[in-house]
Amino acid sequence: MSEGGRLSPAGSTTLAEFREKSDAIVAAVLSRTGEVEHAPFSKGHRATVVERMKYAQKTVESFLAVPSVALIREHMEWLVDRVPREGVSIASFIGGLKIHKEAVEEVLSAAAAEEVLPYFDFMISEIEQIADQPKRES
Amino acid sequence: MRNRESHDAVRSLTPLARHYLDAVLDSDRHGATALVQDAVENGASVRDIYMTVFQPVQQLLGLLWQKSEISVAQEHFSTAVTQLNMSLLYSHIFTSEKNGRHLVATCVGGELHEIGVRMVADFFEMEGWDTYYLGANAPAESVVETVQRVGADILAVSTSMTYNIPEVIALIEKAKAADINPELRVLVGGRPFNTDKELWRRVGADLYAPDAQTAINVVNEALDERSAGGTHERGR
Repeated sequence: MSEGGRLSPAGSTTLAEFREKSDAIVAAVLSRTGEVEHAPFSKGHRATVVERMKYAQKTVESFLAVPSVALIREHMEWLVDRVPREGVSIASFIGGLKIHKEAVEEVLSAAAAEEVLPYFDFMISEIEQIADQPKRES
Repeated sequence: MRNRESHDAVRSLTPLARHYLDAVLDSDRHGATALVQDAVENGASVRDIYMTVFQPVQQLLGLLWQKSEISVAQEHFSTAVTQLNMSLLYSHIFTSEKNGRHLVATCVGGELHEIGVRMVADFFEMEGWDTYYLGANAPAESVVETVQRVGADILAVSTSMTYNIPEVIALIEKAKAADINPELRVLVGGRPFNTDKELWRRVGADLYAPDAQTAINVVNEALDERSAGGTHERGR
């Protein structure tokens, strides 16, 4: 769905389903990880991880609502800078994002997943590219 | 030890802003307040203090937190000091002759970063507008009710956090669906809108500005165009 650096907007039905099933997606992430240390965007106690997953869900919802490559890139740059400062490696973070993607695929209808998953692929790709750039200043 | 990005940002501050930053990071509320009060007594305008001290220092505090150079507590303390100093300047702000126009300024539900839109409200107040600043985390229904009640010409909406964009969309939809002043214009601002300069159109806003002074200019131009019967979409 990514075309020339652009992302196709998610339809209103997909957006509504993504929002409606947000708790189920968070639950699917937690059941897949088993150990909260591998959950996306953070490590720590379960309550903290659930809170951060909800934040991650809302962030993705924003991306779906207003497809903006610039906004996603800026946010991924921010995360690559910030996440290691919270004690989470980029590799672990990407692993968590892939788990998040799997959970989305599991919970959403096929039609909705088809619209949402390219956003996860784009985010993962962006993070890998940013992290691969010459050594970032700490 | 600061990294290069934050080091450069500190160096770009005016001397007054740098002293102010040092004071708030030293937890010296009285020192920071004295700096601002002295500057105003010596002829600095409130607008200059907002644009060259409060705004860049607040942006820098965000960067310093991101780089783990200050704690959340330091950032919150410093922000509280800036809010105190903004309040202490109100005797200079609420003195303008009124022009009969009304502005409601608010953060969307869930948004806690309120200083930017508070600055916007204060700038409009200094321009003679009647302003209604609703602060952080305002429920959309309550914002729309206020817009209706005061007969707002402009609704200024702010979010710093990307994840609150759906709240911005929902608030604008509610405001436009309500039977309000048909001439109401919605102005948006905040970090996501500064990152993607076309985002304001996609959330349904009429106007966008990256800072308080530009907001005044953009709104004045839009109102002039409205008087002349032109389009109302405008961003910087």
